[in-house]
Amino acid sequence: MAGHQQFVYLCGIAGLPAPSPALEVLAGTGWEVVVPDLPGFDGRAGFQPPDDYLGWLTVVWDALDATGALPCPVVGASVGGMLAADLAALRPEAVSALALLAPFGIFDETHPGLDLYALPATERMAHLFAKDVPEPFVDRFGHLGPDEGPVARYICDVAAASLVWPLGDRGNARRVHRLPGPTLLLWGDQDELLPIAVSARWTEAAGVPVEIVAGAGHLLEWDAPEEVATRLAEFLAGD
Amino acid sequence: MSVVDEAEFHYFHFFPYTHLPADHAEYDSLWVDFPNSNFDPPTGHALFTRYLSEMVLADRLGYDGLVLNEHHNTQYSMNPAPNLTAAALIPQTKGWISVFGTPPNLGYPNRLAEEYAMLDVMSGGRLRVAFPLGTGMEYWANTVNPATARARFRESLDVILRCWTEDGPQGYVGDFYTYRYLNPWPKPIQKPHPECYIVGTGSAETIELAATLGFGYSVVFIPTKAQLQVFDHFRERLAHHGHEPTPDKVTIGIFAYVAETDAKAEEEFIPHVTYFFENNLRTTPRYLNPPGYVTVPEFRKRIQAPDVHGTSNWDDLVAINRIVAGTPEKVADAVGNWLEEAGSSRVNLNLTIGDMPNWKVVKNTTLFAEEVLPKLRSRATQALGGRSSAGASSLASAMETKA
Repeated sequence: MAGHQQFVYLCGIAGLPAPSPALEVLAGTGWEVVVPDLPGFDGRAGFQPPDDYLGWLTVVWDALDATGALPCPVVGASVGGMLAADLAALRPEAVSALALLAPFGIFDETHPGLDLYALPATERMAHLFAKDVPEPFVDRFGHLGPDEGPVARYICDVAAASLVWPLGDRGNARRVHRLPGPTLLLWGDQDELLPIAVSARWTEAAGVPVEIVAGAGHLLEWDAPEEVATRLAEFLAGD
Repeated sequence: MSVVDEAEFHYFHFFPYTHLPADHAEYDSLWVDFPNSNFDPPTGHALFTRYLSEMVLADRLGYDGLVLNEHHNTQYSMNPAPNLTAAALIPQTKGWISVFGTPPNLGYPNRLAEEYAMLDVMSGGRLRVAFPLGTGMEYWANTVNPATARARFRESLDVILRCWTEDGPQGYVGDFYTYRYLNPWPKPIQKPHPECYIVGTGSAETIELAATLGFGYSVVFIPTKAQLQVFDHFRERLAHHGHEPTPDKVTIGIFAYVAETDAKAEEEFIPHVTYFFENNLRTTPRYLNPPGYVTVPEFRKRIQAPDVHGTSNWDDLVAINRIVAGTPEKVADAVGNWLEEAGSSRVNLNLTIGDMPNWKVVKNTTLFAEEVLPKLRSRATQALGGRSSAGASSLASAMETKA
């Protein structure tokens, strides 16, 4: 591939305490990974959740536009996948290719998955991964110390939870037929939050086949970084 | 003059569903997701019939008013729609009816303004209202996002006050509620509107809101000592916003049981207090605090605070809450002291609690009315340095004012 290559990455439900190893692999092959500052996900004080989902889309689009990266490929994971899908559906000119990693946005009542926020906060991270909890998620924001770390975690969780409360369904099934360009849909077969069966709803609504990542949980790019990086690289190369 | 001399005693009832299944101990929460297959409607009918009769008895025994509250998805309360219960009580009673109350942000605030206006008109101006944000558990049972609950709460109060105090039709444009024609019929009898409280757990934001609006404040689920600090802060904020911090602005809750001796009172009362704290209140921190339900400053406080839902030991409960069991003299002394200590002239009395059987409720309700209330009414007045005691108005004087 020639010239400057970049894509936008929208992080998942637990924020981005460290660069994802899958993205590091891609960065090592010449891709620039643009990560916008999503309000609240950085745990910074002063965050006020937007009043509604349209408010969320507005602040996310502001953050995306501030990067100056669009139009370009967009990779979204988990709640970031939901936001990425809506960006592509509603602003198709901004997204040249779309990769969704176990996106929220469509709830399947026959496969409700785990209610993450009904778990004690100390137990949640273990359910996001099929393997051991990656080191950056063991003590998110721990670098802020014992007083401020829990507060930053709370702010991050409030941001994510306010996007998916109560079911993580923002009506995406009614919009994903508008996805304009090439779309990749990856899903971990060990996903506890959004069981693999939910992917069929995306396939049905968007006409996009799912590619299953074996042995991976909800945050699959952390459980299977090499495989996810490989599939993303192949997909992005075709953009 | 003491706050006790002007005190009003209101009879609070939780309307609990007490027929729990044998395996209920296996559930770590009896709220939110405790299966409603455990609710038996005929049993519920019998309980409603009984509880309503207990409320009517309290009214006839001379309590100043009756108090109802609202909770969802729980055996703690069969009153997810307390205005219905209030409507059932109105024709059978003469005192105040206090709905303490419906979280206004869980539904449509114009609808709540209408319902409260109906109750006020139906009762001839006997309604009082408290607006709670609702416990964290209510947000698992409803569709409102807890992250926007407080902003929605403030706006819904604004809508309700507009409905009550300004003639319609009027337009309203808010972040959450927008109306082309805000024009509810009926409007309340009481002017400018029924007396209002905000119920909270002591968060600075809620206190500030109550003080700004000139409402009263009632605090629940925190220890007495912390409540006193909250009340002092509330009075300071009331005065700051130009409202007189009269004793009727603060309501305290008291659990009490009266019997022939202290020992007999404890013997008859403690099992039901234990039941209340172990079962009715049994839930988990995660349901108490859905993400975004508390502000960041409040989150900082809570991660350092004791779990008030976590103890059922009698001595511990008595040490940190307003709970008393004993002879009429002992109970009257305690209640009077708590009123003076809090600078409050409003009491919500929990004389029925948990799985207390009807005979004990009748006994306690009657003994308190006949043996304790007279002692409190005639209690020697004591000066309370600097605190005003103007405030509580009787139903008659309120009606005169309205006329």
